[in-house]
Amino acid sequence: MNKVAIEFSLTGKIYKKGFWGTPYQALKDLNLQIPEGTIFGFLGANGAGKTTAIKILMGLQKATTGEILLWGENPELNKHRVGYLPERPYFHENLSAEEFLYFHKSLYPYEKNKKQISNDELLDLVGLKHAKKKLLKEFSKGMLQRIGIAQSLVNNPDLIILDEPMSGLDPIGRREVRNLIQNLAHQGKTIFFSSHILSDVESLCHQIAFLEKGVLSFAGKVDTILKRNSTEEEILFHGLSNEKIRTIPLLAKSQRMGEAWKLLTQNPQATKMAIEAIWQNDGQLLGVHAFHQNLEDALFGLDLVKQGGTANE
Amino acid sequence: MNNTILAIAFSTLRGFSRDRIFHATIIFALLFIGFTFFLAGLTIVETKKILLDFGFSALSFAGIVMALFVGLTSIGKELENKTIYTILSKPISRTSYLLGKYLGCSLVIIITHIIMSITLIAIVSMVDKDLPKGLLVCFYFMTLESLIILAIATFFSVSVSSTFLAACLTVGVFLIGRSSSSIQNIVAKSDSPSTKTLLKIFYDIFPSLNRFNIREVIAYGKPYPEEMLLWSNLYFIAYAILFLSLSSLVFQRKDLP
Repeated sequence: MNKVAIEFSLTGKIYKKGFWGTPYQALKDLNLQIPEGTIFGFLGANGAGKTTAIKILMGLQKATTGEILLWGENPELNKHRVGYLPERPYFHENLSAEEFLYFHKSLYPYEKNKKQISNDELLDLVGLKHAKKKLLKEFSKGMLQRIGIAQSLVNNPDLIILDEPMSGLDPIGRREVRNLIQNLAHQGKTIFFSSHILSDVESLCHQIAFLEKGVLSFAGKVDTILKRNSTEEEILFHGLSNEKIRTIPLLAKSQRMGEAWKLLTQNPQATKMAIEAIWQNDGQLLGVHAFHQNLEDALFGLDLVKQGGTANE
Repeated sequence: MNNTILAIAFSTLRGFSRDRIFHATIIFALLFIGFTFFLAGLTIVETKKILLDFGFSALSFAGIVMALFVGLTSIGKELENKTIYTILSKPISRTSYLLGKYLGCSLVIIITHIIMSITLIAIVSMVDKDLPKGLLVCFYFMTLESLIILAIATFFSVSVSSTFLAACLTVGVFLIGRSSSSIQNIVAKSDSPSTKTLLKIFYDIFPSLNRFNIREVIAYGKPYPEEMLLWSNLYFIAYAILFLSLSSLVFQRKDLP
């Protein structure tokens, strides 16, 4: 079993707006473990508490209750092993890409910057070698996001935390960031990123956690949620009446799709029987394929776990 | 010194050196000082004295405005723009960040004062090449005063969430500091013990900026008390440490927005 990189333990945050303001619980008793070497998606709607949890993790805010550990220790002791890209990052726009990276490298104490990657390597990695001397104020949104990721990698970190890295990017930009995350994961790095773009999470993550109004609703493996190992199959056909469809044996679910019908079967045996029934009743088979849910359907269809889930389940 | 403090300091210095608003402020300050030359030209007698008097006031005013601008925007802007997030997520303590920022802003203030002082010396030299004794000490004291204002502005910029409020509070402390001799006079003349105690506390808590004022003495060609150099230096160090320690205490507990 992998070592745990990040551990949220009963982490909670209460904000108080103004001196007389009513307290607002942004995060409640979050228990979550992120194993080393995984791409972990931290999901939830806007205001669900994702950024709050990440800010506490990065020491930018203090937890009201509970604690967070990085590799079993106080996060301050392991900050040199972490790279971080905040949500909608703003940078010193009067710096060139090269100066910007040099500045972020200089923030590491001498004894902890031995692992640092060269600026050329970093810019090459994020596809910005051509913009080395360009000022950040001349960068496009996608380029800023990529230089932001580059600054999170200056110390060759073992853990990379990205807060909404795809937010505001066009499809090409999103694809570039996705590829970059995959490349980093191939190097054995742990990647923890928040997002509300489910298709990106689905294509990238090994595990996810879902926050709802500051409470952890679900945590688990993406394969399990999407039933990627399921034996269920989908059959698409047309030309059969409702009554005849009801006679098909071992049918899990049926759904009308315009003129056609979609049937969901539990196993290959049921699929075989359903196809035979369609043929016998003069129906026309349009297609058969293994059933895959997308993350959006899965999350909306889930009977969400309300408390204390861990990604190691 | 910690290399991260220096990294923050030089980045701050570089940031201001490329800031157009800051460039405009320096140009305005130099024009302001230059304007005293024309103002003094209107007088017939004691031109040098009047030139120095106006010049010192212009330089001091410009220095204070500069300290306010630099002190309030340096950290305030980073908090507002959230550029501070990527910095503080690195293995750097908040105190180191704060010290780096103060050091960087101090360098900006010192360089600006040097530029303004050279400009004033050049202008005065055009009228009379015989410069008064203690002129450099006078410039030095004005720089120290700006550096104290910078420390106060730093404290308020991390303590309150609005830059406007931080600016008001800093200007408030500056005005009290500049009126310290008046407060002292009222304390001496007041009959009411409660008023006396209250004003005494006021006088003791707020920095007395008159300790850095030898402008009039120098403009009138009189010698300044030499022991003032030592005491004013110590006074500056004590207040800078006080405000930076308070800033650090507040900043360590602060949740970033």
